[in-house]
Amino acid sequence: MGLGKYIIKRSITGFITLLLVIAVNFFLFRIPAILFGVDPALMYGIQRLQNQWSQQGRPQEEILREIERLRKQWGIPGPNATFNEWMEAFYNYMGNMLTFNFGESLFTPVRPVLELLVTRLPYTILLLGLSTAFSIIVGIRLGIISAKNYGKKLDQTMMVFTLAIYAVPTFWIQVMCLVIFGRFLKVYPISGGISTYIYRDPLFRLMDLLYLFTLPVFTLVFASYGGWMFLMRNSLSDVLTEDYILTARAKGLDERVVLYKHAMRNAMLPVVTSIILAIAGIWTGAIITETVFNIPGVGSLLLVSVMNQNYPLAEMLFYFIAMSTIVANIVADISYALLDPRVKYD
Amino acid sequence: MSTRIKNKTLQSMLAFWNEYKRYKGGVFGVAIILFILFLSLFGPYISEPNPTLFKGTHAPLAAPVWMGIFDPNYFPDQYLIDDTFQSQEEVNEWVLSVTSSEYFNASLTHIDDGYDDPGSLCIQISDNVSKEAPPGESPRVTVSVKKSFTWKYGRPPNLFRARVDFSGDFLGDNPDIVFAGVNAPYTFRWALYIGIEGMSASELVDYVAIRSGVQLIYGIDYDSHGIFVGSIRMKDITTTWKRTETSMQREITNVLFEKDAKLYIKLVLTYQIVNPDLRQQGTFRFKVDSILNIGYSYYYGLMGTNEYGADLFALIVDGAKISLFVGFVTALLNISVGVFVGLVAGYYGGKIDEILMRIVDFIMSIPGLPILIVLVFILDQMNVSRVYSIIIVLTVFGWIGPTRIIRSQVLSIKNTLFIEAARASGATNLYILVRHILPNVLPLVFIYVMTGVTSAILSEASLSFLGLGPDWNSWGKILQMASIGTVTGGSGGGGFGAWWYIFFPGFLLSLLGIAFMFVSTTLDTIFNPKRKGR
Repeated sequence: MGLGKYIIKRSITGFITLLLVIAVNFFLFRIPAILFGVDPALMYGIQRLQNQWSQQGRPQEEILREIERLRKQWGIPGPNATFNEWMEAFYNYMGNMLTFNFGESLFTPVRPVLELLVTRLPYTILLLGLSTAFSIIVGIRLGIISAKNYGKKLDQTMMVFTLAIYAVPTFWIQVMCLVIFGRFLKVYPISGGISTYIYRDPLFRLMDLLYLFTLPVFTLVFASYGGWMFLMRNSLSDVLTEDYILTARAKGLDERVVLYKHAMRNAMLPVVTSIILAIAGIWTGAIITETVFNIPGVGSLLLVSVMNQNYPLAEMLFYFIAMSTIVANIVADISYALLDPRVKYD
Repeated sequence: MSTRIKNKTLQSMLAFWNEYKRYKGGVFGVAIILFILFLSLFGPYISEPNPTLFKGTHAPLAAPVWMGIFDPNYFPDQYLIDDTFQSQEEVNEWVLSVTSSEYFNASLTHIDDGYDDPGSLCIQISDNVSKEAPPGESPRVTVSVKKSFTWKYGRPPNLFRARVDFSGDFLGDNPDIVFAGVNAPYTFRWALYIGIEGMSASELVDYVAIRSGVQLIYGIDYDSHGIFVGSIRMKDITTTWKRTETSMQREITNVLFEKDAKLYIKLVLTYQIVNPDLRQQGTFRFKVDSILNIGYSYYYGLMGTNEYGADLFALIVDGAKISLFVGFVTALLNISVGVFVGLVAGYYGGKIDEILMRIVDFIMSIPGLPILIVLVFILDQMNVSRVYSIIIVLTVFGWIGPTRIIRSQVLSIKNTLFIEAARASGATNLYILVRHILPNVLPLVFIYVMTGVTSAILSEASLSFLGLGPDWNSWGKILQMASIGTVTGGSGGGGFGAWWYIFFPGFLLSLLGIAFMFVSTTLDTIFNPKRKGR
């Protein structure tokens, strides 16, 4: 089939997967309610809100109206809801998710959950964008060196060294660096965090932010360049054994030309797909880093929402994470089909 | 040694080991794994069993002992007073002083009764019942015993702790009346004091206040004895043995324990008549089985202690056991599911394969950590114990790894000639699966277990680090406790420079990961000969 048809087919498959994810999201967070008969109102803290409001002295009908509105918004029918009511809630939920209508946060029922996400997004994107970019650059560079010297001493030592680093848990390196640079060398704020209250000038704030980010980015790059290096090394060393490389060398071409003009073009294919998938992983990957360095980003938002049992927030985040992964997979598949003429779409 | 090893399996295992030996990395890896296994099995006998993160037996945040080399002021734990009163001589070291009173006779003696060992110090008080008390007055007597010691070191102790085992009884006609509580004839209480020789209590309070800024209120009665040791004040005496333990504020001990300071510990018993009508003829005995005063060192243990004083080495040994347990159980579960699904999908193919692979793709496309977090959370809501949650969660996402590998292996064997031959001679599918395909898949299983264990251990460590793990002492949990202080500047380890708290658990995690990685690389090289050279 042609490229156009493949794109359409792949997008449809992706969309169906998305619907599946929404369904899973719906049922996953309501399992205690459905299977075990726990009242959804209890789980979602509606009871608590009700108590809080009646304590504040709001009139009863107003409270009930508010709660009804929240229930509809969050898609949780009342206790002892019938099957039909659950199905209705499910359809509403599906519609809400698809139209990006996520409702309000559990603890401040005025602010929409989406707002919480959007305010934190820039930090995560900056953090992971920088570290992914640097990891890729460093990893590819080292991967090329490794592949050129495949099997020789340099390659072997680099491999052992990198494998060892790759096996070290990221969060440990991060906490250690935090203690070393924060406590012993005292060049880094040990409690991390964005100090927005210190500087007013946006330039200073940006510089402060970048300074804060140096340590997390450095540790992330250090811990994850290995993956890119292996990928590049394996892919490139496979390509270098091909016949056409031999031909190019036999033709007398300069080694650099052979490498970058002929070999890399083919070796980059799996790397490109990985890059696209890594872009999707940007805002899911930093949960631990953000927790350690106290950066208010999306990853720590997920953790905080789970710890505080802020269901609407957790559902929305989960949905976004899954959605970005699905979209990234579609884009990766399509771009692979575009880049590699050998691929048959079927 | 030319004995022939008859057993074929043993022979092939030995041949395997001979091959394996050639790879230094692999041998190193196996050595590390065996070491940690050894540590987890025998560790509890070397250090204490069942350690808990939150209660310790030693000073908080003590550095490892071998760090003491760099410290000119190093001193080990000082047992300043360690009396169990098993003999009269020990009792004689304590100096008795009694406020003079016409109503009471007090004396100090040694008796054989004891709490956990025979022998106690005993203060005996008997009431001169015949001496009438004027109405409205409540005569009393204060009996104290005192012992001195010297602090020889240039640095005050890391922590000063006191522990006393005590009880009381009454030798007379009606002991129950004496210990009746509300309507008893007497009240008796005791307290523990510390002070500097030659200084009165008021001088002591000023001394401490000037140097440390801590303003103390001294004494509860009219005679001042010194400063209260921690919370051992106004202690009630009952007929059952009790143990009381306390530690003193660091600001105060830093002031008191100067180099060559002469200090004393005073145990003061107050005995007062409150119901003159119920006065009893007989002897009241206050028994002290042991008094322990320890000045803790800044160094303890192989790996130091955490902020609660728990020995880190014991915790790490406990964690080794847990990490290996989680790793192997998860890997085994994963591999069981993986082999089953992989065999079925690969061998039977068709629709089943299609569906299973779709499920695998779906699960694989969801990023790992977020969904792990969400699943643990959901299982929490359903009141599943965290221990099971962790294993369930890791398995739900772990089985896809081996499934894909095994399925591709099955696919490559499925159409070889010997399978066709077996089918031609009438073998059933099940027979072929078990007898022919499975043995060819086993090396992969073996290799997978190595990588699977590491990833399970690391995932568990990540989840515990974030606070989502069970309440056990896994290395991830230790790191969580260590980092809480670092990040919020609170009571954890890193913020106080207690690097050992952070270093050791993480280092061992990395070591274990590297070891398994070396082993799996070696196994891979052995079983996939085409990778050996290029």
